[in-house]
Amino acid sequence: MIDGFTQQKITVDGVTLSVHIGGDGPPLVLLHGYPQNHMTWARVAPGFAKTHTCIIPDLRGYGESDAPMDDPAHETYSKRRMARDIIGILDALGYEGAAVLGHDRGARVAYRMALDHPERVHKLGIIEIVPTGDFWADWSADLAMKAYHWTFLAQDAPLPERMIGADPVAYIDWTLESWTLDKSLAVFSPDALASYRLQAQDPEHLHGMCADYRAGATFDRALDEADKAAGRQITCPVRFLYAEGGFPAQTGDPAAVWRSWAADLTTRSCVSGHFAMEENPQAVLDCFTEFFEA
Amino acid sequence: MFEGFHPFTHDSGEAQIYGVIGGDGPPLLLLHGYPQTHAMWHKVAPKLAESFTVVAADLRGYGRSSKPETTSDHAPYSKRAMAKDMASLMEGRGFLKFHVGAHDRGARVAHRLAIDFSDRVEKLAVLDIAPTREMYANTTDAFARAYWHWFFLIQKAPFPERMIEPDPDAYWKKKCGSGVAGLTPFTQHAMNDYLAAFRNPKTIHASCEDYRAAATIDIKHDNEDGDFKLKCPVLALWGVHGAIEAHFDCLALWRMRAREVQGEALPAGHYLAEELPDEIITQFNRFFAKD
Repeated sequence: MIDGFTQQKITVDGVTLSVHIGGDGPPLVLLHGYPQNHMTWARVAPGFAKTHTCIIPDLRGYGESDAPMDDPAHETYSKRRMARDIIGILDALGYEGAAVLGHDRGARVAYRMALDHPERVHKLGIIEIVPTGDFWADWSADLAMKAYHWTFLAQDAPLPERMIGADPVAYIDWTLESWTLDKSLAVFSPDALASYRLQAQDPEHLHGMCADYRAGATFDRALDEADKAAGRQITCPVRFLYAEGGFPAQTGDPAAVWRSWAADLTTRSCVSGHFAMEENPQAVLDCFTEFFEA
Repeated sequence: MFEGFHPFTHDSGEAQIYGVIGGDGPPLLLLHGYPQTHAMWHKVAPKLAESFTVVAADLRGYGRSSKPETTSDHAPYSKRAMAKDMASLMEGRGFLKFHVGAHDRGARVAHRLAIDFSDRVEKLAVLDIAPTREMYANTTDAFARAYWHWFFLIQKAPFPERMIEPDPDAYWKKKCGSGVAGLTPFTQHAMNDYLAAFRNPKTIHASCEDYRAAATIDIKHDNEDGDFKLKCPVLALWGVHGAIEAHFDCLALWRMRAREVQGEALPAGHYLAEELPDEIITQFNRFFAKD
């Protein structure tokens, strides 16, 4: 749980999603990444909640949301489908639109939501990614070593599921630790860490999380490439925050990649590993409070 | 397997190397790849032994060979160290000049052997690889997806080890059975040998170290060689259904590292010596024959 927040279950297209809600003011959707859930926002959500109604779902396949079986085309875990989940949540809660802030996989859902449903996303905040199609296009041996999980998790089921499932806690601990600046689990609160470990021990969620990456390597990527070819743009204001010790910082010029998708872009960086909301919560709050309140 | 061959163990000074030897004629060393053993040559070795003295050995870290402790720079699993074992092993059999036929990781060892012992390796045949440095330099997203294990196995110890150890059979069968031929290239006898070796956590660790070395110290050694090109003739064969064909210009990359290169794609996947044994026998007999 996040202090001061309440939990609701909302069913969208037969998939029941867990949503934590708190605060007061215009709606702000916060979307977590891999291998996490809503708990990654626990340190910053109370700050955002002073001026916004924060809506914090667990993506399908993660946390306390359902984790349906994937389909051969990986449409089930496409970012298009996950974005529709979030639209369904906004519909159920009676919001016409919202500001959306995403980290990691959640940021991929957030920008897909801005592309597919431009009228529903007023402002878009992105933490620690470049778009899926651009990331794959820039692949090299160096990147393949650092982001090995993109090719590993995208292997056909059930190999990654079985390998992770043999010792899920060791896998989760290693993954989290290796992406922090300090190479330490100490940055994660005990509650958050326990929730990340718990979801990885459930075979259905383990499958869902792998399927998220299978979709990234196929369905999501193809959609990005088609949008790029068609010259489609994100029309709302975009704020991009990257961590100095994270993935985008190692991929050339991430701000230039985002500028090719969004004319109204501002970029900031902060001292952190990949998990900026947990490693440097004040930087995340400062960066996006300024952006969403402007 | 290997009827008429004799098993032996050679002390290279750093490792105990297991091998089998048989046949008559000029010496031919055969080196296996990942995650296999010398047994991968069992379909071709008896026939080749009619024309050559055939030596098929397990690389250090694999099969019945010993698994030396590694170091933080992965030097004990550098292709240089693995090649030195093989030069020593052949010298121990009385061979200071010999041919090498090698597959996969063994072919990377063989490439280093031909550089570091250029006066000993007379001809080199490599199956389904391009040179390591050139493959890394030309890595694309599509190749990284096909050879995901290159990037997984090099993650810091003991992470990949711990993920493979609980169910090595499942990993092995998925890894080796993902080609168009599935698991059909592998006979039961050979598969028993591979799996028995791979169930040993020390083999799993050593084979990860083989890949970690390839991504670091082996490339450093390659870079120290600069534009050096092998003088011995090179035969490069690869599978038309494999990743080398799909993602690289195999002959062009070998011509960056060797003066005299010939070769072609064969109608198979990665495991050429087990998928097309007759073709490999013909190709090796022709290539290694006296000029």
